[in-house]
Amino acid sequence: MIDLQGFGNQFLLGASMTMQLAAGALVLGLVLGLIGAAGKLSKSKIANALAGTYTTLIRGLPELLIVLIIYYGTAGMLTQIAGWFGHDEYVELSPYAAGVTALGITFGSYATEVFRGAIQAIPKGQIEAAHAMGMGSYMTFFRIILPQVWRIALPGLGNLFLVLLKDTALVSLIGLDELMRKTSVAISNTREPFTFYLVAAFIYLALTILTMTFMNFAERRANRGFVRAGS
Amino acid sequence: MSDASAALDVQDIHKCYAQLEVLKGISLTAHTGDVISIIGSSGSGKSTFLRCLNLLENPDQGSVSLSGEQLKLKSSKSGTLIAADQKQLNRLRAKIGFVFQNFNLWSHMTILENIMEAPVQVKGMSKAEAKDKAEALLEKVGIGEKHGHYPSHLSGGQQQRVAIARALAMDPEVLLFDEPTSALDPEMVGEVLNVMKALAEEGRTMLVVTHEMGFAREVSSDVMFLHQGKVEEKGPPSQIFGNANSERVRQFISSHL
Repeated sequence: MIDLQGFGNQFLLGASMTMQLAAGALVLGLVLGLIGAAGKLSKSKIANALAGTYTTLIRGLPELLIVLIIYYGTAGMLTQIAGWFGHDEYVELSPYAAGVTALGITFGSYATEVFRGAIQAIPKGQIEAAHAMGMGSYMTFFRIILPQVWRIALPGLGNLFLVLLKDTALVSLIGLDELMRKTSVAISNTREPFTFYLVAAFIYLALTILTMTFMNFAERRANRGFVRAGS
Repeated sequence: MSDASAALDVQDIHKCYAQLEVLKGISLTAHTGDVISIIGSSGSGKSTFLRCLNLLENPDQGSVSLSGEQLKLKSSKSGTLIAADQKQLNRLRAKIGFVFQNFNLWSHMTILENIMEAPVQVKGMSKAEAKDKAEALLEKVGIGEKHGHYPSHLSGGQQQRVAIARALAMDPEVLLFDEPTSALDPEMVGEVLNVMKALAEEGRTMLVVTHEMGFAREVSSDVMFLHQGKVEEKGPPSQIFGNANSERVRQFISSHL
């Protein structure tokens, strides 16, 4: 057994923070992704342009840069705004809030495309049938489109979440005590990089396997009632 | 011209796609209990006409009234007519049952949920009541034992019968059928036509776009023949199938019997 030299508890705390970060970013990202997809598919030219700018901009920048911009950029902005209201101390987002925001915005920009494709994959006839029964656009979206969007989008979203899970490591750079930062601390104290990087690797791998198991379950549930084409 | 006592009154529907004029002014009045078959060759505008009645397709001109209530329309930017009052449109649509060629059942819901959905969500019926009703309707269309199945587990004929039950669950004043048997294997056509025949015998008001001449002849009270976006001839089946005035209708009938 690997000797964790008393850092075992720290690793658990780090893993827990990593999961909280990923979960927060996931929730924000799903909401942004749905809004983005609605914007791209909207009849309004303004909504198209806003959603297009969002995905182009965010997908065109390295995530590390987004994390740094959100953390340091918003700090400057918030301090400025606080100044207008007569507070002259330095204001900044907590590393956790900045991390969730940066990763959520990134996840959302990729999820926009996944959702857009999924919404377009729903047979038009089913939407017409809803309209013909007297269901309005909102009811049709929430009752007919959205429940089927999950089924189609799940594999794509699962993929994005696995990427997100590992991108949480970037947030260690702005000082959030997640798994990667806990690992660095352990290494600088023990001078045993190989051991502790290995431990970190196993934890990331375990989280990934956990996610995949959950996704499998979710996909099977969402696919109830569907016959695979060709079978 | 307009008839306030009619179950469904449609006046002068025009519809263009780009330069092509698909409907050139079609009117139709259906009284309660009428079964009107709309026939004609492919491309004559039959389905487009039917889809204009509940605004699945937006006409360029015309008016639609259901039991004396006129659907409020306004011009859109592209020149077609759209609903001026979305709430009214939804309310009227809820009273017009529509059966599609491709069934269009919602694939994430069981058969029972498909039928319960609109009564519960649109009409605000209690789930228990909607379930009783859905079960009775499934029994009526002859698939009582399939409740918990999803649409993809059923044959085309069964799916279409569920789609009819779904339309009936809203207690529609008029039922519109858009080529309900055209997507079916030949051996399943009969089971769907039998359900439709039973509905006609109950005194339901129905408009049926169809290629099934046998059905049009035996079940309809009136037959409307469309050709190139116009009504070529309209009359009781005995006239259309027996001694039509129009040479074109006579040719069509003789080639389809």
